[in-house]
Amino acid sequence: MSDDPIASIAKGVTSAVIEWTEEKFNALLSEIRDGDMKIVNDIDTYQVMKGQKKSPEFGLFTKYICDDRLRKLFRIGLSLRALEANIEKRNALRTRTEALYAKVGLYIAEFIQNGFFLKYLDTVIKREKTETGIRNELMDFFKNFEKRVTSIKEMDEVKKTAHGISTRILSNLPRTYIIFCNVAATQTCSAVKEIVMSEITGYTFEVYKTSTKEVYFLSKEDAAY
Amino acid sequence: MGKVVSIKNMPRDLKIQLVKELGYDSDGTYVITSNGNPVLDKYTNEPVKIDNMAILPGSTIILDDNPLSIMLYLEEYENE
Repeated sequence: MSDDPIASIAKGVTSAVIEWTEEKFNALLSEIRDGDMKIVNDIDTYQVMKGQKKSPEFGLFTKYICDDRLRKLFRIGLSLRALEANIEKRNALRTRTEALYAKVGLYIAEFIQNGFFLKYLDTVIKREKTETGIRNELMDFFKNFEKRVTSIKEMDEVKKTAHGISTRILSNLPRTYIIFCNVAATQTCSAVKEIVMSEITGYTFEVYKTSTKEVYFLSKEDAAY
Repeated sequence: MGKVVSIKNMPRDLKIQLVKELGYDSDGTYVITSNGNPVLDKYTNEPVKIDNMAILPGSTIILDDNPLSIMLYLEEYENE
């Protein structure tokens, strides 16, 4: 720990335990008034938020998507992922996200949190030949997110859920449709996917598994602009 | 980058003195304006608690120190 925490502050970030003497308090006040000092309660949270832009995943996202709202939701998704070990903070962030961006915003953030974006991008890049094509599909996907993604629960009624998804796909003919579940619901999810694939034509699927999720990416064949 | 410091261990009476020096006040729990109105987080509209505030440049913004507010502040003021 530095003997002079204010000097440590001058170097950038300090999480040192500061003994707040009158001198140090006044020095802090002066720094605040100069407009160059950020005061926070939890420095770890600040550093996590600040470091997000350096994330390669964020770089890929912003390469293709210029939408302000989606960019913020993406960062919220990264934040949810960083906070997974802190249930209280994570739930607080989920609550605030839904209040500000509605349920669909929270779902998009959770999509990012679950790590689905890179895999989804991979399927799009394999199919689309140009950057414009990639960009257009990503924007269409996120703008119509609720019509492009279904989360399956263990107790969902398989046939009814599958028919609902098939109807949605046949009505909208999306380039990508995603069906996913927690590991506890993989049997239900797989059954739903099987029925959907039997009821629609012109789509292939890829399965992607994490330690906690199973995801089916249904891709429209020969989709072209 | 700018300088960042945590006031997590700053005694509450000192935090209150700090906000007073910046033109605000406190009722002991929340940061309030000189008129007695609660200071609301710019992004979430939540009243800012004296024990969980962030004070950031940009006409001296006082926010609730939570990940969403911090991220939205960085989006608004620190886009490189």
